[in-house]
Amino acid sequence: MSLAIDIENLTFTWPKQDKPTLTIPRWQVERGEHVFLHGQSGSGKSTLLNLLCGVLESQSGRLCVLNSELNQLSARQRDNFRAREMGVIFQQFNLLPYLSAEENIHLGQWFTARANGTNPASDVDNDFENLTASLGLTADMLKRQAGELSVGQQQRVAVARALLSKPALIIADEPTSALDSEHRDKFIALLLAQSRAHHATVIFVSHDRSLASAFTSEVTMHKLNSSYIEQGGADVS
Amino acid sequence: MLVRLTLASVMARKLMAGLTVISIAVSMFVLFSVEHLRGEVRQNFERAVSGVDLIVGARTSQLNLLLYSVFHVGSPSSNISWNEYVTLANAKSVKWAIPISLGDSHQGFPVVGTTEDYFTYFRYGNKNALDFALGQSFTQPTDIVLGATVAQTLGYQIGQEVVLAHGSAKVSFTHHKQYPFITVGVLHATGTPIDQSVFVPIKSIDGMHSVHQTSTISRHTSEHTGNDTHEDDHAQHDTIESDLQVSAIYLGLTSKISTLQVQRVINTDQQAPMSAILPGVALAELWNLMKGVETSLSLVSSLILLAAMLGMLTMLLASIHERQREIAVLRALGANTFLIVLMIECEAIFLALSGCVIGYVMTNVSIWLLADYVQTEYGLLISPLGYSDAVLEYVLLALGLAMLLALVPALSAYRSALSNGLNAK
Repeated sequence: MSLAIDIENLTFTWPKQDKPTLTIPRWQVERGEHVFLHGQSGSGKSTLLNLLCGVLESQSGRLCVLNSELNQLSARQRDNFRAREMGVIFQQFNLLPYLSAEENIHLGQWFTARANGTNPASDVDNDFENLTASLGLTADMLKRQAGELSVGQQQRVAVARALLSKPALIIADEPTSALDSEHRDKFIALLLAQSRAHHATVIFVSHDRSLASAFTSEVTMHKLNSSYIEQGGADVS
Repeated sequence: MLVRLTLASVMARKLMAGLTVISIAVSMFVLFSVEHLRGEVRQNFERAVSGVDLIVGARTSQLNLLLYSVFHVGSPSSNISWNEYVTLANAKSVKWAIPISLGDSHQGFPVVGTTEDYFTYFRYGNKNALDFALGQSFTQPTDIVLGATVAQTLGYQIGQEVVLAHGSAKVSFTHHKQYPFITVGVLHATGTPIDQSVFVPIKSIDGMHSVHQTSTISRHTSEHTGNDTHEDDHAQHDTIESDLQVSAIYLGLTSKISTLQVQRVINTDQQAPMSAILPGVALAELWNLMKGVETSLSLVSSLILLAAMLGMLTMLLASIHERQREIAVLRALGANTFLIVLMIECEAIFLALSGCVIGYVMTNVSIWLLADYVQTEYGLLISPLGYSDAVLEYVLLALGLAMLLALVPALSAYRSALSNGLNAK
């Protein structure tokens, strides 16, 4: 089975800092895995996610995502790669508040199509209806301005947008921290079910370890990031 | 999509964006108005006389002669005698000669004593002849013809009796009451000083003043001045034609080529100290005097535009701070940094263009509202602001400036998109 993520001796140092924030000797994630990535704030997880998304560029080491060497791509190629292959879900504020929910979803498709150099596929309408229906998004919700929806609804719209272009990798950065526990569990179940249906690999980042049971594997930042260990942040658990 | 995105984003920040557009619109309004007014004033100046080859007056400066003979500003230092006019009019190279006598007024409007030739030969604007809105030229010594503004302001009709006053002030102590005129004609509006003028037969002006001298009753028409200062002004008058005084003469020549030659002959005449000027050259010299005013007006309006653009810059910079999340969302979807820069540039162009369009509309609306007032009050004919190269230049200047200044927030967004990555602050 091919790897979704393959990292070897990766280091990243922010400009104007003398010590690396992130040092990962080795990390591999297989395709289709649902990984729970546990990390406290300051553990370098945001940096790692930015590297995986291709927004930041590492100084040394190997960073291979979905069989593409990100370090060998230009910034623009990495942006297109992200538009084509990845779905990103933040903690909150995933949507442009001044567009309707539907337009937000189409915006994602537009970027994907743009990166592919094609027009948005015609079978997308069908997928769109199935996906939004399975996420419990009604036509009324989709017509409303994203800013008017509740946080839970917004997060579901964000999942719909992330999944609609059939990405191979979904990166979710604390997507449930703004939700209450009931909505949180439902959200995770929905996300994982839809990801499984679309054969997408999921990297789910959270500081809340109680969520880990729904995932196929679990990894903690302080095991992954040897810089973090050196800085003495390891003795939390 | 980019345009839709930009518009939606701007709409989400209606208040700030609206205020920015209004400030740009106001500055464009000032810029357009100043520029347009400048052009219109200049055109109005140049309209004042055309088709006249030479203007002749008693020896004086070119500007002074032009100012009093065409614009009725100031007064002649001395006059030409009627004999000199006759000599000139009969000269071989002269096709026509219109004598003009100034000095009297009616309700503050200058009175021009002239002959019927004025209405036949005088040209204004683009070689337009004068024509009558009502009535006709004078045939009797007591006939009077009114400019369009005079008739409109005073509400005079054909047949209206008019009494002229001595001197040019609106309130004059000396009225030529013994010599009333009858309105026989009203001219069409021309957008030149003609609209504000009252025309009488030149021979009647002299006759009118003579009446004062010869009639004992007339000596006390000036109600408040007991003693007669008037006498000094007209001490030498009688009705003999050769004693008529002429303030200036408009000349039309048989051959345009001889203009300079005729000018030199008149200017160097030893017997009669006269000046002949080319109206076009004198107008250009007059306009040159305005150059400084023109330039400073342009400078001020450009500075206003710059201020509005700096306002836009501030607004955009402030909005970038608020829009960090928006930028992070777009980045996460796969937007490259160039697209973010493009979006901000798009917004700046949209704001500037809206400002230009609104400013343009504002200019035309105010011209439409004020044109009548300005014409009656200042005698300025202002046409609507159409399309011209100057308008296009200013719009391009505004857009260019907007694009240039928007680079500052665009690059700041670019930098933060690079360094903050997907972590919206």
